[in-house]
Amino acid sequence: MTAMIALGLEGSANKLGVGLIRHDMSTTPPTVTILSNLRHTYHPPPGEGFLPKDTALHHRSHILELIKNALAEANITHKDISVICFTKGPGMGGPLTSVATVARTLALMWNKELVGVNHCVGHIEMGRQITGAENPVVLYVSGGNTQVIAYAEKRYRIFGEALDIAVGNCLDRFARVLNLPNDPAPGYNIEQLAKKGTKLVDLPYTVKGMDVSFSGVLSYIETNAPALLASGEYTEADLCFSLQETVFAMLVETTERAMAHIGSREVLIVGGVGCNKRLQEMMDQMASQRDGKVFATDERFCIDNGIMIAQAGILAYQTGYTTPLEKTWCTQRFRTDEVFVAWRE
Amino acid sequence: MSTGSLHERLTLQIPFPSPRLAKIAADVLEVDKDLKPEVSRRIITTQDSIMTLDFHTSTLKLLRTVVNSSLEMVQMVVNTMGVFDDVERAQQP
Repeated sequence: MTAMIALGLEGSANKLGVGLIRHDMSTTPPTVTILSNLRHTYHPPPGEGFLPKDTALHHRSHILELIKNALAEANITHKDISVICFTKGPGMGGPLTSVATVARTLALMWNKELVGVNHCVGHIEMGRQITGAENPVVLYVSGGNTQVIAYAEKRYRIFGEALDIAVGNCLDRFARVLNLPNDPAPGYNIEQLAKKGTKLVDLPYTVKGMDVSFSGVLSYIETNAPALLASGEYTEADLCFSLQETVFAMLVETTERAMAHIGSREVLIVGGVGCNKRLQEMMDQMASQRDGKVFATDERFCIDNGIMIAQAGILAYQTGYTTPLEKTWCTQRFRTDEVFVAWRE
Repeated sequence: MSTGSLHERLTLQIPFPSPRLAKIAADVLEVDKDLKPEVSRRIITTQDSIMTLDFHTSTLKLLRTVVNSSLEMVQMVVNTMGVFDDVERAQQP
């Protein structure tokens, strides 16, 4: 077979993604083509976060239309699909299972194999594919995850991580305090507001070796924001600016520590928070000082999407890996290093 | 494991257009195991074109919860079949 097409289904948080990717095996290396990459996001009202039940309902309501549109845009039928890939975890239970249920049903109706994909590995593999980074230290930062990762001997090893909440979760929850809209994303709106900030508020900075902690800085800024704003000394923009500068500096520090430890000169930033231009800028300043380079993708790929699931899934499938039906259950906890990365040296 | 001590019961019989689709639905749902089998169990069987869901729980509240979430998944399966299955459609005159 010269060409393989994978369908990827993603729904671990509030973004529902469907992607179709084609690997043409007749070239070396294989030619990878994105046939379609569609997303529909659930936005709760300002001041609120997304809850599992509502998120699962959103995914169930939109997934079939999204799959239909993805097939149409790719100009293929289900007969052309080689494998169906879906997010096994980590993430929110109800949303994950809603999407997996569709994946299983399609697989049985169309007689296709299934591959359950680790969400984090999906981000990494799409980042590698898009940017061409050879062997970078990966900073994976989103609303649900914060990890510093490096590849070694068939596993994506976690060098450091957030001990309590993810950096994106910290930012999203502060956005609720300011009642910022959740459309297109609370983090995006904080980023825009932060651009107008000029004054730096002294906030708790918590790096513990290779790990970071955000619950302290979040609780500090949640508690003190009203007084800081009421004093007239600081604006909402200043608070957004200060929060970003603080949490991003923590991420840059631990990423640098990993680079120094491994002797790597490449940083790949993946995950929704990776879209943030200020984070990219700060990381770039550090990397340049070390003669290094930062790789990042745009919102099509750094925000949760279906194509990354198709990509990570098809790579595993090409090594002979499939997930038997009885093992296609979903799990809220799924460590990045649990995956055997058979497709890399 | 016996369900004798789980006194709250409900049985749902869901018809499908064919035994093939009933079996597919059952296989899809069967993957997700009972979260707390000691207090809530769901037994899935098929007979011809009908899928039967037998719920056994210790409390009414648990019964409501498991029936509701199961029906949400059944609905998802049925809708998926409605949109994407062409085997049954091909066999129609």
